[in-house]
Amino acid sequence: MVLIFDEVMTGFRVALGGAQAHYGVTPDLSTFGKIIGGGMPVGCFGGKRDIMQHIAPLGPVYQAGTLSGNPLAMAAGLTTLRLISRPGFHAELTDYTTRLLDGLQQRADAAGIPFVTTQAGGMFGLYFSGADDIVTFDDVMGSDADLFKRFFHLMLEGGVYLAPSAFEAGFTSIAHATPS
Amino acid sequence: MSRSETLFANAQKHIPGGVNSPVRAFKSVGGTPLFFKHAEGAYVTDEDDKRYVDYVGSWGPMILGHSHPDVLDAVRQQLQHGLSYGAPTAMETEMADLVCSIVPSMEMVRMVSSGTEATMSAIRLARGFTGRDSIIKFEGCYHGHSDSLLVKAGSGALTQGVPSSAGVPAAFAKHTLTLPFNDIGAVEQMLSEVGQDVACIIVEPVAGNMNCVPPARVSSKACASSATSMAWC
Ligand SMILES: Cc1ncc(COP(=O)(O)O)c(C=O)c1O
Repeated sequence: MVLIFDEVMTGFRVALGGAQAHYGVTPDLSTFGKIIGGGMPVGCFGGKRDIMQHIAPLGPVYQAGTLSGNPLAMAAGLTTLRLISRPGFHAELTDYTTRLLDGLQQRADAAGIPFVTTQAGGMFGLYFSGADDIVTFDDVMGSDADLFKRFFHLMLEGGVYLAPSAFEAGFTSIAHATPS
Repeated sequence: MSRSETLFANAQKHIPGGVNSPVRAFKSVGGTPLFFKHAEGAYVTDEDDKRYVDYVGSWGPMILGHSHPDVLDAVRQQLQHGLSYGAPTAMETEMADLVCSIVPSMEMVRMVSSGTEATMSAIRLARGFTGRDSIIKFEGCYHGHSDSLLVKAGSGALTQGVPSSAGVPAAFAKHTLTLPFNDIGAVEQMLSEVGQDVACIIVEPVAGNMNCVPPARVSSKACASSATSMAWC
């Protein structure tokens, strides 16, 4: 049996080496996307050599793509990966994200609104919920999606664009952390 | 009417729901989706010239902020040499080497054009490698929209209140076994019952498509060790 980590979202974000580096668990195969293309359409899968050697043209598992490895996409992705490889990048991104969430929590507490946040490096979750922590799917579904809806539109009015759904993660960038 | 409202009305004539990916339609928050025309640093600008601090980041890719000058320069440089060849390039090896050096578990990589293709291909590979059909995924985890993976999925699927899609044949879906996220007991139980038929476990190590749910530490470790102990058997 093969363990696949889908790091399309977490890869290069939760830590440079992804969630597998952050949590210290080694999968057999991993998938990546998003950051690896720097905004161009790119994905990637890979892992153990003895498994990967089963892919065509080496092996019997067919897989192909007209635009796979597209040069413009590689240029954007390579440059992005090199820039985020600088020491301190992910610590800065994580610190900024924590400050953002602390600020929101303080304001919610002051207003007496039940509110919980979650974070993994440069990604976060906001929940209008009285739960102590968010661990299960039921915890997520127990949050108040109507309150989120109001919050979303108020933030939009105030010039902040959040994911237009109570069931999507939020993402920060190093440009948020170091405003010009 | 704002420009976004006009554009959204026009878009619906020839684009289903006016969007090319469902979550963009604002269905779960109501109102009209904003149409964007510019993005720079931490900001996006809509068609009505209003600027927003952006916490979506194109759903993840824009970790450097938008329009990073070095990234735009690299693309401009390549532009002068053509858009696509359908033949190997030196940059692909640079990319493969870089990914393998950043992520030590990656010994070989294959590039594709989306996350959906990446997970779909990894699942096929796991099935081809093990000679087994069943896969285990977790409720609320989204791995793109290939048929096997649109069973109890998150993201746009969850937003629409239909975690599983119409159009996925029951004969495909039956090979996708779904378990609750962050519940290692359920994984162990399932493996003890049908482990011999399972090609792979696929998991978002931080679930990011049902909001954001980090792994219960013990769960992810145990998941890896039970996977490893079952491996190659
Ligand atoms: C964890 C995960 N896997 C796969 C995908 C699918 O990627 P794409 O939308 O590039 O096909 C996504 C996209 O949101 C994702 O978050």
